[in-house]
Amino acid sequence: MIYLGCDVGSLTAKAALYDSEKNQLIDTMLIPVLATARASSDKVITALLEKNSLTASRITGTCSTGYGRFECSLPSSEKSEISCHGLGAFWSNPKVRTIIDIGGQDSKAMAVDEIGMVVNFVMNDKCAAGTGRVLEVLAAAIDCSLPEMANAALKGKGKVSISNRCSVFMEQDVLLLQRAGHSKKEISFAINEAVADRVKGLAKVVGIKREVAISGGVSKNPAIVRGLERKLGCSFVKLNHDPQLMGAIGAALFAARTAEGK
Amino acid sequence: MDIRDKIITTASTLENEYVKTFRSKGGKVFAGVCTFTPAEVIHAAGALPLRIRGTGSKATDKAEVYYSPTHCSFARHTLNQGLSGHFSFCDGIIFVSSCDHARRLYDNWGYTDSPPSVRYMMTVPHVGNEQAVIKYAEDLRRLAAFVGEQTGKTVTADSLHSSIKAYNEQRRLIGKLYEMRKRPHPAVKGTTMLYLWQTLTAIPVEEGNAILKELIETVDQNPDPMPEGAVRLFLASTHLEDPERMAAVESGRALIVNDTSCFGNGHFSAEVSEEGDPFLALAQRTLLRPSCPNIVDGFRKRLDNVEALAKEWNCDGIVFDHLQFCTIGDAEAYIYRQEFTKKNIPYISLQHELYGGGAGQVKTRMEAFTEQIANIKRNNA
Repeated sequence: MIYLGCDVGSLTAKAALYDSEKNQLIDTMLIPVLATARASSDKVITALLEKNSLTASRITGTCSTGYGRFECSLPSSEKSEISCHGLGAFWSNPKVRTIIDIGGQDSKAMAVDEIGMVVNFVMNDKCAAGTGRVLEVLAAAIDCSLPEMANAALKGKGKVSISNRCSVFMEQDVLLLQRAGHSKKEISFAINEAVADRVKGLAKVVGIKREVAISGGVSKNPAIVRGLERKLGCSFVKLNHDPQLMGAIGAALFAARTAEGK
Repeated sequence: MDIRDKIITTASTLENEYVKTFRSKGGKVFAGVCTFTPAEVIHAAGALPLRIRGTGSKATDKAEVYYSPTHCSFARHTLNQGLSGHFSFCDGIIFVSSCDHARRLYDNWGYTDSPPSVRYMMTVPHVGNEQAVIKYAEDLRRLAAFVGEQTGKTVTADSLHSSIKAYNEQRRLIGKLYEMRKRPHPAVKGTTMLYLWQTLTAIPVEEGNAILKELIETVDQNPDPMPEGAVRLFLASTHLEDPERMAAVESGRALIVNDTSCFGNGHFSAEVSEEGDPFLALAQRTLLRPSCPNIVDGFRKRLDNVEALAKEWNCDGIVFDHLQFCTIGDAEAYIYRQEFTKKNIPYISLQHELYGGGAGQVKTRMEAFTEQIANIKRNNA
């Protein structure tokens, strides 16, 4: 039977199709968000179904997650992205017990049990300082793309630092460093360290239980990943699927569990 | 008008219909900051006590001339309302030093000469011992003399005893309502309670008691609707007054069944002794019961109280929601986490601005929190 999961976040919308009999992913899709969550979910779901020559009638169960979960067009149930990221990451690599998720608008750390259910979590407060959004803002402040900033940060030596208490103060610090003539690679390093420090604080609250995985869009930023591994004293295990899709995958799995009573 | 609608309407504005009627009969209204301004003293002087809140505030731009954005948003919003003349219907205002942000309200209000022009600053203790009780009782006597001078009605031991009796009745009635929240289907949600607290702290106590009686009768037969599979939660909080915030905390399957909010049980719990020196009795009740986090040596008492109430009301988890930039709230949140984690009690700490924003994030957290609790319960079964 085929199940659909849809994760509408602040920057991207994702959808996943899951075959419960084969316990396999059929396909996934990711798009930048549109003006409304409804439009985003419509587009990503329609595109994914069309790509796989499926119609909505073939879908046995659906589940939505992410900030737009209440506005999704097709899904009939919804689950928090915390539970979905937890289950998605666990399914992708069953050794995982701690997941650090850094998305566009929030960051969170989760502990899951031996069946992938969240038993503890912590999420950033009303603050962008540990999120993908602040990386975007600060990359723009130093006139870089996100990949350029990550690559530059990998070459930095840690000669300067910035605060991480507030994204507004972070931007002020970056501007001051620029005026003082510091190089892009050093400023980039400082930015990534500040964000990694912020997320480390969340992970410490939940407690690090191995194995640890990282998900969300920022998991594709090698400078953040490396910084966090160093700060937490562990190496992240590899997820067997795109870490940015864990929410959608988890939602599809919840749809299957709900429908099949597992 | 349905009793629930009456409560919501009354709570939605500070200068409510009860206040207007009271004033139209020549009565004076005294606003007071936080639960450390005893309503009984104002009532005994023949005035209407009204708890200060930021209801209706949309911005803090005027206040931010005097407060930085990293000051408590309760102080910023209420000062903004004061600077905009929203408290001009009051005849006097009483400030307290329950925290430094609240203390500065008095300075800024006076510096800007915002109405009302009658202002009083009362120092309150930050410890809960017998010495502090004696000092606070003296301060209450001074406050009574001041308010009596303004209203022309001297506060006597008899008049204060009579006021204490009226407020004790209110405490017993609200206690009855809390008891009805122990039921498998609690009589009222946290959001309804928030509207009720705001109504009761802004109308004459006699009218408030009548409303309470009617509400108790109504919800006994017709309780608030509850979500299917509701997860019962305890709300430990400092100042929380935005009904939209409470609704966000109660989103999904989350259901608040008891609290120590300084607008709720933190304000209404524990009766005042009706025997002996009434000022001493008021001071004892305020300082020796489990109080708000400004009583710095009262943490253990607060912790034990939260845990005991959560157990008695059959709560599955504890939510601590406090104002951003509230230092004493921050400290409390940290220690609660350590203590409840040790005891394996599900706990979540939230922060909010007095008004505005963050509903999406809170809903996500609360949804995840109730899912987490369900997972833990299943694992323990």
